[in-house]
Amino acid sequence: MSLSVFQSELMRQFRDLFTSPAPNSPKSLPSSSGRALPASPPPVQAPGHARHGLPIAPSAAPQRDASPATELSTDALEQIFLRCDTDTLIGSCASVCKAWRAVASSSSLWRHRLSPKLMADLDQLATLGPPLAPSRLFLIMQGRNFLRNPTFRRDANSQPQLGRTAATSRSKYQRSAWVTTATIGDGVAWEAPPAGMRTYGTASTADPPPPLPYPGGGGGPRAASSWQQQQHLLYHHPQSGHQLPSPPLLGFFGNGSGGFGIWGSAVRGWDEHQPGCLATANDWCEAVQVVDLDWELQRRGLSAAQAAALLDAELSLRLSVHVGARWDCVGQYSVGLLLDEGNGNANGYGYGTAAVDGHHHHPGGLPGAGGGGGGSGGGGGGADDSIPSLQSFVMRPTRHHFYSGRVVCTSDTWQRFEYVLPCCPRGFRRAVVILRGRRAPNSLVVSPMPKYCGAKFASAELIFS
Amino acid sequence: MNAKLTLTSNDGQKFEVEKEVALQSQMIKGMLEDIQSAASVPLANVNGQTLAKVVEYCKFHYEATKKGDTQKTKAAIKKWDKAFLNVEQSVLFDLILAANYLHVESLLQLTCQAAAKLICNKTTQEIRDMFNIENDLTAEDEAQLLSEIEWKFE
Repeated sequence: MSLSVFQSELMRQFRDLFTSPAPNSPKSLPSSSGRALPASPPPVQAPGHARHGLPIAPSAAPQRDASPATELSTDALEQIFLRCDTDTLIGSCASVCKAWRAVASSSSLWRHRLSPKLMADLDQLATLGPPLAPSRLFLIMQGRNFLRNPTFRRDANSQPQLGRTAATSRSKYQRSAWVTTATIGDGVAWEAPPAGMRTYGTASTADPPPPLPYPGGGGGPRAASSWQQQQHLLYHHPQSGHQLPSPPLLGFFGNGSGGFGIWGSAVRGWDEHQPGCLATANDWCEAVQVVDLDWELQRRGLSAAQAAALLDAELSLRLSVHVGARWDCVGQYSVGLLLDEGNGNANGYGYGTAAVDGHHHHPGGLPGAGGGGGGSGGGGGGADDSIPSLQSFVMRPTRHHFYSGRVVCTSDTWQRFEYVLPCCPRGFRRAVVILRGRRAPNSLVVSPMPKYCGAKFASAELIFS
Repeated sequence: MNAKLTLTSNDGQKFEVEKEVALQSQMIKGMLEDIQSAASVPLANVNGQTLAKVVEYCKFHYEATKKGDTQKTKAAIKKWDKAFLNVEQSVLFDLILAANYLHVESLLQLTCQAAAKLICNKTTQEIRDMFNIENDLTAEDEAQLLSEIEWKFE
């Protein structure tokens, strides 16, 4: 990337070498070195040169009085930023000063992180709504989890989807993150820390690596004190002394949703961020999370058109979850991922998110409700009670079904289960993540049998990649 | 062929190194390709203290690679690199600039990694303090930056 800089630099050096006594005129150069020197000095690779080249050569001359870092050239700064983690980059580096801001949001820096498809879509997206920096698009699509409560904390599970409150949530799938939909026997247990997992070998902890945090909102009980302090720093502008009105940012990431704080390490390792897991018992249990991607993208600051364009752009979607079992038991699990158009419960998965009462008042008003005539939603009962209709088993081009089958998970270790859908179906708006677990039926029965002897789920992640 | 090469920093200090050592710098390499006979290279953008460090680095790595690529030498190199980076911040940044200018790829990698580690997980204010940077963003700029990343709730 710095080739052009390097070349121009080299040339300058060159000239100095030969022309030190003579006035600095390229014409006086000996012809032997003419090969390396184009006839006139600067107009080599003009565009790249103009961007990179400015500060690097004269960086020694101006602002000599200032600190070391201000003389860090754009190029060097970019090299450093390339090796920074994205949260620091977006959260801290971009707001240091103008020069840093420019570098931190330059597209050359994000080209390596942002998926190529997203990078290619960037121009088209810009025409559909507010301007979109690559860094912002990264944060929206790849930098934040789409799954709420990805660390399976019981106390964070009542979190509604970004932008919803308990009052505006229209179904239990919107009110809480993971919903246990089918339990036999002892049901599920929320364990923090995971029970029966031991530290092995060189591992410093028995926990799986933390997932990307969910952006979250709505405050919640824990408003991190260091967070508030940072807010203060951020809002109290040192020069103007001007106090900006503080937005409702409390608990932006310190909401137990697995976030580690976008601005700093202070929050990491706190008790409430201790990872948990969802442990299943002897018989099958199922936990489901419905992600309204269309809604989510708009809540993350995209316009409706942009969100729709992104979902129709055939991006690649990645679901991963860590699976394990107690040291004395063997678990069995399966993972499902459904992508569909997400219009209420008419498609009959039983994962409907349509309003329960709205349903009774305006049976035809809801998009798609009863549209096919065969939808189960047309009948009475709440959205959540609907049974799958025949319609739902018809595969449509806007849908994608994935089911892992039954997989046995090893005891005492966390394994990463990953499913990557390389090309999302056009027209899908919703993702439903289904986790099922139990004790492996043919495994040795230990005595006494622990209550939650089945598969455990931890560190779930759903992002575009 | 153990030709010597003299590198001169911008404050006039001279460093005599073997040609092979200096060739780790792509810039010097490119320069020498064009003038084979050159025996001294003036480096206008590097001061003596930094150049000493760079030369030290290049010398060590030249000798290390000559020894071969065994597990043992790799560990030794890592250890040495770590000790090498144990310098003040200002020196580190000078090294980055020099590595960038001289185009010593491995040194650039090493120093940038170290600098990135310094920045990681710091707040904006901490970074400003560390680097002594004046905040030249206006209040509006900051507000705009913030509104971009804090996803507003109702």
